[in-house]
Amino acid sequence: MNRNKKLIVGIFVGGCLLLFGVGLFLIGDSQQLFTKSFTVYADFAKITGIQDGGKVRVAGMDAGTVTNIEVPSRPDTPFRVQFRIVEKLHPLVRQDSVATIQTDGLLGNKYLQIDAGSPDSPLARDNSKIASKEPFEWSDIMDEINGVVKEVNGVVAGVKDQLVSTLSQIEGTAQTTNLLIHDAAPNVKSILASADKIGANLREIVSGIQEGQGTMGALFKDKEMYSSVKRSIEKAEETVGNIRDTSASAKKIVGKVEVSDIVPEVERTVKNLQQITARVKDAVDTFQSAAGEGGVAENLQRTLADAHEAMSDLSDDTEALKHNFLFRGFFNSRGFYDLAAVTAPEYQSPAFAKGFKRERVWMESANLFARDAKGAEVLSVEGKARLDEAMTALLKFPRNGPLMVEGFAGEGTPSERYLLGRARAVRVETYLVTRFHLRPAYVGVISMGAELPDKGISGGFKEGVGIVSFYK
Amino acid sequence: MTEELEAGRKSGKCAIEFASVSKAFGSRVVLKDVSFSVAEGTTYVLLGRSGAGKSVTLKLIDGLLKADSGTVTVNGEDIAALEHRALAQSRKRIGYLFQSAALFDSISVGENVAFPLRRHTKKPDAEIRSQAQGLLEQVGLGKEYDSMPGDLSGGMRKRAGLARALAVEPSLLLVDEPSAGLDPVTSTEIDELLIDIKTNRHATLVVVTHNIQSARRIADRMAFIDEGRLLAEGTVKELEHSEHELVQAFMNSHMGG
Amino acid sequence: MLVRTVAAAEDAIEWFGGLSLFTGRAVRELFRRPFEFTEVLKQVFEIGWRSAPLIILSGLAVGAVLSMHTRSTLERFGAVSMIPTALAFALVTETGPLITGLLVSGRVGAGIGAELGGMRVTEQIDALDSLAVDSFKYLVVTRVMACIIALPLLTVLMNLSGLLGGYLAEAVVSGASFTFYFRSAFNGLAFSNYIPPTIKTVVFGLIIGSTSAYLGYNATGGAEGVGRASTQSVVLSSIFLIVCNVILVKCIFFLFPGTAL
Repeated sequence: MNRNKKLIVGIFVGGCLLLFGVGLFLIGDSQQLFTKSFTVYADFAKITGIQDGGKVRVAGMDAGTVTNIEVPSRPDTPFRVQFRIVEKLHPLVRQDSVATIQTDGLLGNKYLQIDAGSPDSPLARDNSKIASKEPFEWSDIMDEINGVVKEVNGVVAGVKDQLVSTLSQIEGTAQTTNLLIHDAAPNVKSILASADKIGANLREIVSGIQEGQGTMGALFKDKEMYSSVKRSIEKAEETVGNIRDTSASAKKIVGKVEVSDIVPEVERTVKNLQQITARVKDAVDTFQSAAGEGGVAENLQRTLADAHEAMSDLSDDTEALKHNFLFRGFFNSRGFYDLAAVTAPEYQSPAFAKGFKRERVWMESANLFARDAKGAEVLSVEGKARLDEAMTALLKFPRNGPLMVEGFAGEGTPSERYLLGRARAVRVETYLVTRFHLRPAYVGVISMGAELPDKGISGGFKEGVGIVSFYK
Repeated sequence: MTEELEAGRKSGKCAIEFASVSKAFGSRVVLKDVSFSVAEGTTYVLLGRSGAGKSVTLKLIDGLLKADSGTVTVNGEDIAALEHRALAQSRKRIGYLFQSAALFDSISVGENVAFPLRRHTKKPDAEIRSQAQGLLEQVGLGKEYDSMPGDLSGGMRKRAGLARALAVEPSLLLVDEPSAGLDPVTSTEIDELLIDIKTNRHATLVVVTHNIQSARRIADRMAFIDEGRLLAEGTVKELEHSEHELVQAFMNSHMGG
Repeated sequence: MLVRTVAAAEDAIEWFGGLSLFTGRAVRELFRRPFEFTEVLKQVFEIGWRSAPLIILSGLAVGAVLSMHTRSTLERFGAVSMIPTALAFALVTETGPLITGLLVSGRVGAGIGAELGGMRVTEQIDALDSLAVDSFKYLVVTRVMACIIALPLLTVLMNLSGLLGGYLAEAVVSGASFTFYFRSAFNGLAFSNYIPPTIKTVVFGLIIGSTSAYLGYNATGGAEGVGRASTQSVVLSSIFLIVCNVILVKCIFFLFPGTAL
């Protein structure tokens, strides 16, 4: 054993150990072990296979590893997943960041995704908890559908005579459920797009107003401008309110359909809209108190025009959505029936326009209609005057709900009565829409010809038209 | 019985004593109820045909094998009862020349001889080398220090093996077939070396051979082993006049040669 | 017939018992003075250093082939970017240690079996003992020790040369950058995928060393016996190694649940 051999053995052993060390270092480096980091945790009811040492990504960037998973001692407490994030990415992790468990690529590794928080929120502190969202499971939505089918089954048992037709309905429902889930997504997306657009425009208005605070005087002198702005803002507020409701519900439905794609968008939009609403309110306050000289009027007008356009887009989308099977229930429960398709029993049900106050004006057909040369009913001059009068009275109430025109007819067979009632209602509606520039989408026609008149009406009222304004 | 031997016996010192030793490998019996003793400072030759169990006898003496029954006593100690360290200690005073010489083929001839010195002494390298060189010269291999064992002839290997066995300055030298496969001249040289070792170093020698010529030259006493049994034991003359046919045949077959 | 089978089974069990005792003794003696330090170094040189070229060449080839196969599979899923990770995973967790073990059992197992067998039949082992040197410690323990030291080191060489071979194969096709390749290769690994499979080759070393030393140390029957010892060393140590690997992998999964995907 000469010196040379010993040297070679030394080199061999040392070299191999060094290579091993390099491997260790590369692994450690990829797990960010050698960089300064901070620890946060999140609770999950289901951890879907994430494990100690699992990767953590902040906004898609490798950021650290899961350091510990605390197994709950009771079934109703969640797993507590603790993880490290490199200090470098700390600015992105805010107190409102949300942790989700995601699946990575081909091997299906699970990793923890941390969304970048909102810029206004403070940084997540070391050893603090951040919010989490449960992983999406197809089985959940299937369970829900199963539940619905079971419920329907229960109903069916109660109404045996309608069994056959109900069964075919159930079948249809089950078949179309999947399709509809897909159909709903584009509608929701386009609503959201509009909402975003409005959001952007409103922000522009608001910032314009705020920047131009000193020049408000001029704006104030322009009365028409002022009321236009105010109207627009009120309308925006209303729409925003609706959107907020819609979004919350859409989020619920769409969240089940496609978790990772739409939900963040919806959430972001809702968040934006909430912020904007608040700022719009501020702006209105500013508007009312500010005084000074003019300046931003032109800019403001253009922006308002844009906002109007965007809002009509939005209302179209909302319309489209109302037709959708899945969303109908949602709109109905809020009184947003598709006014063109509402049926008399629906109309009479207490669910219709629930939460709205109603104001009704009755008009006998004798006072409204005259017969033309062919014997058909047309609005008489006197009748038009009476309608103007009635409508003016109704316009005193807030315009934030639908306007319904009920047609009544008391003679002939049920179908004759229905047709006559509808004809009367349509005539009145057409007149009102053109006369008062009402938005057709918010005006509905209902023939009560085949039904008994509303119980709340006395005097055996049978022939005529009722105009009902719903408001909050 | 020579006077010299008488003296050895009278001194009462038995270097080796076999008492009813039996040894078998599986079903093959190698030694059966063998008893003999070797006096200190004498040469004891084990004769017999190949495969008669002579080599096993040597291995029993060195503790390389353990007897199935009976006791092997070396320098007054039961070799089988010795624990590891004591056995190693006793071996340090025993030289062993194997039948095949058993040189380590991965190191040079000189290092083979130096091996026990390096293992058991703390002498400096130069001294060990000169000592090994001296031993090689003693067996006539002075020029072969750096040769590899594979390059040597059979006789040279055997002499190198002897040099290694002598390196421990043994009081007991076990020699297995010193002349097997060697020409008569070399064989005689080795025999003379063995005699020289006995007289000059006062060592006890146990030599296994089937060469009667060689045995006559070196033996003080001899034993004849066949099929694991000790057929005859005594001086050369006693064996020549043994009543046992096989022994007589063996002793006389080589008489003329 | 039955009697013969029973006898053969008895022999096999007895043989295995002998091997177990032998291995146990070797392990015990590993920690007992005197340590034949120089001899261990010499054996590390023979077993480790002299195996390195074989390991590196095989590693390059295995890595290149694995990489090509991985590519053709992953391409179908459009997951070409996973190649380094998949290759590193396959190499480091299983292929590297196992192939290293088998190659070493071929080269070194045969060597130890033949060397010790030769020493046994030419009485060199007896000669060592007769010179008051503990032949078990001097020959067996040193070789087992050297195998235990060399195997993990050679596995590291195999893993890295495998990755290098994979990189070369990949560079020809896609011209991937060296740094990127190695970074993403190690990116998919955890310490528990890297350290336990490398350390487990210590057991491979023990199996190869003790099985082949047992066969060689107890060889009988001249040159033929030596040949038998040499062949059996390779066959048996390879079989034991593969069987033992199953148990080891199970143990690693048990101890580091994270490694089981």
